Amino acid sequence: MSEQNSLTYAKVNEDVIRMLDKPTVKWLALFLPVLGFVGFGMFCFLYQVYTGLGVAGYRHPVFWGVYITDFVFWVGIAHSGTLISAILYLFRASFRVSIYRIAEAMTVFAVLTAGLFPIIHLGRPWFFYWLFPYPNQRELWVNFKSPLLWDVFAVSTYLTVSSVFFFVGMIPDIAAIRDKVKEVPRKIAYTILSLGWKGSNWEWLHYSRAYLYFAAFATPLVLSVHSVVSWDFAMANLPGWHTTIFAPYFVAGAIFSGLGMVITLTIPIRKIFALEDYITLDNYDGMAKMIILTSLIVGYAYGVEFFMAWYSGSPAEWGQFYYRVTGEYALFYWIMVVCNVLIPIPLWFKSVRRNIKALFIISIFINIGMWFERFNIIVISLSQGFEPGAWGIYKVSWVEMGITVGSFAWFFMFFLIFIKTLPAISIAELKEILPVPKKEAKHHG
Amino acid sequence: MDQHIRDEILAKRSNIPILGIYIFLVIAVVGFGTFVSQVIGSDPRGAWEVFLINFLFWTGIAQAGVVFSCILRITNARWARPLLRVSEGLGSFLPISLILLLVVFAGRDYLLPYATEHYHHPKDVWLNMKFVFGRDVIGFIVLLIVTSFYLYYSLRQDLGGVSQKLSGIAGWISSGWTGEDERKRVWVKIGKFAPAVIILYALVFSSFAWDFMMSLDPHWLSTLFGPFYFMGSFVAAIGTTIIFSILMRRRLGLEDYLNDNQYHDIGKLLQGFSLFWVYLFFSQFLPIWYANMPEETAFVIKRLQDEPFRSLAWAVLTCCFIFPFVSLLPRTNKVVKPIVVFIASVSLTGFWLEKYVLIIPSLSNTVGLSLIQILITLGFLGAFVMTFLIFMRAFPSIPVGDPFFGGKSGSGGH
Repeated sequence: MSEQNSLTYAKVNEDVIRMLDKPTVKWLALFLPVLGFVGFGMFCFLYQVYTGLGVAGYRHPVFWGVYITDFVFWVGIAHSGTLISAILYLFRASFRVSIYRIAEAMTVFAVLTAGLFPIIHLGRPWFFYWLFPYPNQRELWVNFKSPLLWDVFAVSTYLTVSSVFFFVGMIPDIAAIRDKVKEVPRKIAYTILSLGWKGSNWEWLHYSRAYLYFAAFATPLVLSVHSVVSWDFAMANLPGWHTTIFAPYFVAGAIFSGLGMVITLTIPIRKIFALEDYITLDNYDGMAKMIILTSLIVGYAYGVEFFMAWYSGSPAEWGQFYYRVTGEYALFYWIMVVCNVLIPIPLWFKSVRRNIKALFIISIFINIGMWFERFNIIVISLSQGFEPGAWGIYKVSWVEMGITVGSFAWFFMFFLIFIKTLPAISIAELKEILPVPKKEAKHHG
Repeated sequence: MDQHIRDEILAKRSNIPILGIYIFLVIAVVGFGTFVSQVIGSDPRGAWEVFLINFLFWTGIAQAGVVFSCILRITNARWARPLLRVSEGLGSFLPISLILLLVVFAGRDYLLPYATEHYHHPKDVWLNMKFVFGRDVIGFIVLLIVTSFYLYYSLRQDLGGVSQKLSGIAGWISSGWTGEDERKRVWVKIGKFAPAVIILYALVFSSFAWDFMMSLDPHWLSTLFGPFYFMGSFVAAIGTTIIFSILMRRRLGLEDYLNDNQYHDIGKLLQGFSLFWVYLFFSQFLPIWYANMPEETAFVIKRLQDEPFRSLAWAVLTCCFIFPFVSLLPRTNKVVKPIVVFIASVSLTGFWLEKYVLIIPSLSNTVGLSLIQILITLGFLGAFVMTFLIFMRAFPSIPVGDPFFGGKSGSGGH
């Protein structure tokens, strides 16, 4: 990684710890509006609880709408973190080093956001714990045959593993911060979080083994979580939902949207904190190539789904896809195709992959396109099922939009707190790819 | 890469015995003769069926071998540089595959139910013989042309600038080499053709999977069936690369280039993609089983629940996934050559049987391999190994001209 050659061990420490200085006015100018939107989202939710789910725009036959779309969207966003930190770690792709911490943080926060939506979607959200299998007086047991319950297990496993992975990866860096900070409360906090890390050979030996095992363990999760989410739909006997390609198609889409979000988030951070030496164009080049691949897989899935609906000769199946392309929601369908298949095409050119502005714009379109993909799958299938007498149209309500906006704010809120409190770039792993300092250098972190 | 290594590698190719090529040629001819004698005989069905299985199995491996090389090139996988040529060598079977594809259409009355039956719209459009023939043959020819361009530049990069005088096809490929400047241009070309090969592979082999496996039961469908075939072939190509590279390594003395590091890594890939294959299987099985609709389950019940195919399906699952996944866990099993060859062979056998389980129940309901069918299968094996040996005898066995090739003793490294 030639572009990182100007860095030294001491500079890495200083730069990363500099990011944790007292919040600036700029940071507060971002944080306070974000808090405001979170508050608005909460208000919408309370209003919905008070009034009932009718305010969520649910009308027969569509009883899964924006909330489930948001749920799938945020679980998808959570995927790039583990992909970058675990799979690319196993594949020894060095372009991951400077971005994996941010991606992992994103994963944890996105799962935290996603986890809210099944609860928001409940008629009686205060009974959300009924989803968990626990012994109770009524001798009721959860329905293990329901894919919705598989979701509970998949998402909670993913949250646990990605949080542990995130935390374990940070221990050596937290110890480095602990050694630098002076203020007593921060010193205490980082001392506790660093779990007594000293950086001895013996510790590193066990640490790197453990990290490898975590990576190997987390890798199948990247496939399993979104597969299970896809089966919420594919198990049901509904045109447009029940199809075998769903699991890999959802996983590819999740990685695609996750990478889009990593790019959307890291570009401003890189600019604000002047991290051009760390998050290099090579890093973006690598991510953009992954986006090309996943965009192709998603495009293949759109095509095959459509083709098979026609080939099947089933009027319900073909009717559903014809409706997606030409019906009331056709605009959303075409937004999806344009954003996910056509707009990433310029990334085939190296000059675009290394152009930060172009990447930023493309990544935002990817986020939009992937949100609509989930909306299309969920809402359009539900509004035109097998029975023409039961067809109907669903319109998004302001409460749903409010909660969706609130969820974005909730996600960014965590993220803003994260970049001010924890090392956003892996100090330890970056040093592995830097040249070893000469003897006379005093700092060796 | 320095001149010395380039010449040394090039000189090694003559270690491939011509006698070996002739032996495999004889095997191929015996297999071909058996096939022809059966086809003109009174009961050609069994010969045709095993022909289709072998066509899909070996063509898949041949093309996926080149795809494996393309993927390793565009991901800049330094560790795998010494393996590239062997996996490209699998593609030397592709011209024969094109002929075999035409032969499949000659046997359409025995193999493709839609050649004799008629269906309602839209299947009458898609499963129209002329359209099937057109899309598969044209698609395969286009893929073959793009693959040839890729292999041409890959070989030109290695043959360009060698000091010894080259003859034959190697001479043609290296002719007009303008020096080190051209190396950069060739590298750019490789970067352009590699993704094209991969994309076309996914499209053309999806079409093969639909037309030659899925549509044999014209009322059944699975949207994931294309990837199930082309990713399965990809796993089989990794296994074949392991086996062939170990044989080459002994014969040509490539121990300095192909060492434990390479086999540790490619062993992990075989293990990982075996897991991925079973994931693709399960992604199809679970929704079909769960929804329990007769039009979908009939295909699955025939293969997974009813004898005689049930036991065979379990054998496939064991050979393709359970055995390789478990046995490749310890490092020793990935780097000790006889062990990894054995594991890869089991995996390959599994993928052959997988084609059997996917195809035969749609055509005839009996299980069993006659001596005739075994001979035909051996004929395919013979032709496959023969073309591979001819390829390796003509070209350097290691991609010495590749910018990421690190030279001797695993310094391709990590």
